Amino acid sequence: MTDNTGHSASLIAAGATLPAGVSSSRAVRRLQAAAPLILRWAFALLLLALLISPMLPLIYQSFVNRPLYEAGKLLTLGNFTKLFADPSFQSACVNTFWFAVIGTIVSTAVGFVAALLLERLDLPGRKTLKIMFLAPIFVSALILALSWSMLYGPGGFADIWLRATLKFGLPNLNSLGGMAVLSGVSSAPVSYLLFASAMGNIPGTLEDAARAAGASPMRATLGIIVPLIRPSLLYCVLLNFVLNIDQLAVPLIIGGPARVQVLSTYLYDNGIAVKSDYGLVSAAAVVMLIMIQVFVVGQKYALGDLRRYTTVGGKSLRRGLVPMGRAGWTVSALIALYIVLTTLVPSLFLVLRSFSSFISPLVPITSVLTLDNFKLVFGYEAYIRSIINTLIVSIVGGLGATVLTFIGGVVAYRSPPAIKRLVEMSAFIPRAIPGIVVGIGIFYAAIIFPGGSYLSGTLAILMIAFTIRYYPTGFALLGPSMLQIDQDMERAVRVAGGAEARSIIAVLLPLLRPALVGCFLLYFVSFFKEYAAASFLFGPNTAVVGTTMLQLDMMGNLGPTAALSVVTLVLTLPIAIFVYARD
Amino acid sequence: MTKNTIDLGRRRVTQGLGLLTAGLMLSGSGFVEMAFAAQPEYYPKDYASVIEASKAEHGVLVYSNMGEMNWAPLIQAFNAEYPWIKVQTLDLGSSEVFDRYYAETAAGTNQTDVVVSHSAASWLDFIQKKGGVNTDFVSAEADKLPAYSKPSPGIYTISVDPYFIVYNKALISPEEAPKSIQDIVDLVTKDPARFAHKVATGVPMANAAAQNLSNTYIQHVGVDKALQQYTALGDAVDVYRSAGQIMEKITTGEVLIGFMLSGIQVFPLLADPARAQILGYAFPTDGTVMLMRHIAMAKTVKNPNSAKLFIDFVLSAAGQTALSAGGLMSYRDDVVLPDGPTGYTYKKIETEAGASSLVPTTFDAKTMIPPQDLIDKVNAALHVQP
Repeated sequence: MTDNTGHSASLIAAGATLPAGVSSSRAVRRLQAAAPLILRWAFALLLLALLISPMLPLIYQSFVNRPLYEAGKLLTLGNFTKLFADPSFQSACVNTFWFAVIGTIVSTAVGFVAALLLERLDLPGRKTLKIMFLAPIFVSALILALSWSMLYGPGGFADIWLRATLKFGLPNLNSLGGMAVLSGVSSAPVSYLLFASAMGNIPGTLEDAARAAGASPMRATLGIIVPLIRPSLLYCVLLNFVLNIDQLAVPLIIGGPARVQVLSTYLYDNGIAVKSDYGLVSAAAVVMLIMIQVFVVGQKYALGDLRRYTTVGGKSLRRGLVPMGRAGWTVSALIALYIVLTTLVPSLFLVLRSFSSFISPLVPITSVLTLDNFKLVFGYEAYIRSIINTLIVSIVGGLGATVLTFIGGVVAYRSPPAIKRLVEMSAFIPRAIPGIVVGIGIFYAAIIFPGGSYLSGTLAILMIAFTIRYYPTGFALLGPSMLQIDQDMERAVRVAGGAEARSIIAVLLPLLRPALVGCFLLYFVSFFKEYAAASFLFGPNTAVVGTTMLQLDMMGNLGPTAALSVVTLVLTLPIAIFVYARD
Repeated sequence: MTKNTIDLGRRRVTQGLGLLTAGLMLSGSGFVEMAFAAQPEYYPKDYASVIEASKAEHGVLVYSNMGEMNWAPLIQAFNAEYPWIKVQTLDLGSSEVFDRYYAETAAGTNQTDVVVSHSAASWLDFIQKKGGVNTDFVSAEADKLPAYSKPSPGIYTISVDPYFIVYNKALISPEEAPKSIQDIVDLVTKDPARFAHKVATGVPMANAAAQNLSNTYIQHVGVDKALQQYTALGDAVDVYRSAGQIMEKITTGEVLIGFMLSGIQVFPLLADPARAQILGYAFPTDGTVMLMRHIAMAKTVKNPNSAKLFIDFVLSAAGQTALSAGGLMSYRDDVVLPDGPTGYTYKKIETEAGASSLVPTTFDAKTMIPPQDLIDKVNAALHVQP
C-alpha cells in the first residue's frame, strides 16, 4: 500500500535518464519526484474543504446563541444542554436507533441475498429481474412510502383484500417495525449495488477451487464470498445505518399515524417546521457527526489490513455464472414474487393513480380515469422547467461527482496511509448531516466564503450540495471495488515505462468500468430524487423535481405528485436499462 | 372573540357596497388609462405614475407558501392588466419563507419584493424583531377591506382558509353525518370499535401555523372542553402530516372522518364530481377556524412600484375573484362566485354555518403559540409523540 509513490519516486531518482536540456539539478529533480505527492495532498485537502464546508457554519452555529446572520452572538453551550434535556430528543434517539438497526438488517440482508443470487447464479430472466430489483431507486422514497401506505397500511387495499379472502390482515405498517422494514426495502437496491460491484470482481476460480476440494456449493459460497465481501459488507452496514438515520420520507409519511418520532423528523419539526431553531439543529447535527465518526473508526478497526481482499490480480479470469438448471426457475420465481410485492404492485398503483382523479374501492376505476394530472404537470412552465433543471443537475452533476469520486479513490488507495486516512475520513463526513441541514450549511457557506455569492441561485450550487450529500454513497460504492484491484498491474505499466496517469487510464479505468457506471447511476438517480438539500437552495429559476414533488404533495393532491413521479420513472428507467443491459 | 367577528362582518357588508359602482367608473387622467383597464376612482391620483414607474423595474419576486397552481389564475389576471410585470413565485414552507428572507438579507443577496405566509407567529417575529415589513406601504384597497384582514401596519390578507370536516358519504349515513367536532366525539364514544383509527386530522402541534390553528380552536371552545374532546377521540384518531394523504384515505374508506382539513387542499378535490359522490363536508358549528394568509411588501423591496401594483391587484375585487379559481378563498364581500366547493367566500360560509361558528385567526398572543403545557396535554390526549 505504502510504497507506490515512494516506488515511483525511487524509479525516477534511480537514474531514469532525463532528456537532454532539462536541468539536472538535484532540487528540480527532487521537486519532480515529489510532484505526485504534492498533488495528492492538495487534492485530499481540497476534498476535505469541500466536504466539510457545510459543517463549518453549522459547528459554529451550534456554539452560539443566535442565528449566524444576526449580530451580537455569544459563545454558549446552551444549544447542547437544551438538546440533551429535551425528552423528545431522547425518545427520538432511541426510536432512531431501533429504526436504523432493523432497516439496516433488512436492507443489507435483502441486498446481499439478491446480489448473491443475481450476480453469481445463471438464473432465467436474470437481467430483467436485476433491473426490476433496482427499480425502487428510481422512485422517490416519498412516493414509494405513499404507495405502500395506501396498499399495505391498516385498512389499505391489500389488507382489505386479505381480510376478505383469508380472514387475516397484514401486520401493522403504521409502527416502528413497519417503518423500518419499508425503509430497509427502499434502500435494499443501494446495498445490492454495493455488493454487486464487489461480487463481480471475485473470480469464479476461487469457488471452483473450493468445490474441487469437496465443498458443497453453499459451503463454497459462505467460505469464499462472505469473507471476501467483508469490506463491502461493512461499508454497506455503515452506509445503511446512516441512510436510515437520515431517512426522512418514510417517517414523514408513516411516522405520523405510527406516532413515532425519529431524529430526522425531530430535526425537521424543531429545526425547520416549528421554530427554525438553528442552534438546536446544528447541535443535533454535531452530535450525529460525532456518532458517525465513531462508527467509521470502528469500521476501520474491523476491516484491518485491506490487502487481504485483493482478488482481481493479473492472473484471474472474468467470473462465470454458476449454472442452475431447474432449480433456477424456483429461485427466479421467489425473487420475482419479492419484486412484485415490494416494487411492481406499488409502482403500478402509482401509475394507475397518476391516470385517475382518485382510487377507491367504492367507485369503479373506469369512471375516474383522466389525463388531468399530466395536463396539470405539463401545463405549467415552472413544472416543465423543474424537470429540465433536474435533468441538467443529474447528468452534469452526476458526471462531475463520478470524476471526483474516482480521483478521490485513486488518491485514497494509491497513496501513503496518511492521505488515505484523510480521504476516507472526509468522504464520510457529509453522511452525518441530514440533507436539509446540508442545504442550510451550503447556503451559509456560500455567504461566508469568498465568491460564494456568484453561486447562490444557480444550478451549480445545487450540484455542489448534491455532490457533497451523496459523496459518501458514491465513495462507498467505488472504494471496495478499487481495493480489490491488485496494484501489481499498474506497477507493470510503470515498470514498462508508462507514466502514472497512463497506468490509471490503461489499467484502473477499464477494470473499474462497471463500478464507475454504477457510481454514476447512483449519483444520477440520487440527484434526480433529492429534495431535502435542495429546499433551501433552489431559486425562482432553479426548482427541481424533488422540491416540486414535495410541494405538490404538501398541497394535498396526490394525482399530480404521482404523475410527476411517473415522468421521473419514464426519464430514468431507460437510462438504467441501457446501463445494465450492457453489463 | 365571537362578538368581535359579528361586528366585523356587519362592517364589511357596508364597506363593500361602494366598490361595485366605483369599479365601473373610469378615472380619466392621462394616456396611461387609455391603453389599460382603468383604476377605480378611490385609487390615489398619482397611480398612473406608479404604473409608469413599474415599467422600468424588473418584475416582482414573491416568497410564498402557495403552489404554482394556486397562483396561476391570479397571475394570469394580473398580467392581463400589467403585461410587462413578470411575477415570479417561490413556493416554500410557511416559516421557511421568513428563514430564507433572513438568511438572504444577511448575505446581502435578498431580492424579495413580496412575502406571503399563513404562519402568524412567524409574521410577528418578522414585524417586531426583524422589521422586515415595509410599513410605509398603504394599499390603495386598504379602505375597502375588513378590519380583521389588516392586523398590523403594512400587512394585508390574500385569502382565508376555512378548516372543516370531511367524511365518507358512502360509509357514514346522512343521520350520522357530523356537523361539529362534538358530533365526531359523540360518534366515536358511542361505537369505539367502529371508529378505531378511522378518524384523521393533521398533526395538531406540528408547526407554528398548526399550533396557531389548533390553539385558536381550543381557546374558542375553552381549554377544558377541547382537551375533553381530544381525550375522547384518543385512539380513534390518526394524525397525518399532509391533508392529501387523509383525503386519499377518506376516499378509499380507510378513514371515515377527517377534521381540521384546509380548504385550499380540500376544495379543489371536492370540485371533482366523481369524488363529490363519495365525500361529504361540513363547517363545524362549534368552531370553523378561518386561517388568515397574509401578504406584505418586504422592506428589501427592489421593485416597489411593481410590488405595489401587484399587492393592490391581489386585494382588489378582480384579484380576489381570480384567486378563487386557484383554490384559495376570497374574503371580500363584493366578490360573487357561482355556488360549489370552489365558489365559497367568507360570507357564504358565514351564512351556511352561522356567524358564531367562524373563528378567524388573529395576531393575539393568547391564541397564537400555545404554552408548552397545553401542547403536551394535547399531544398526550391524542397519543402523539412530541
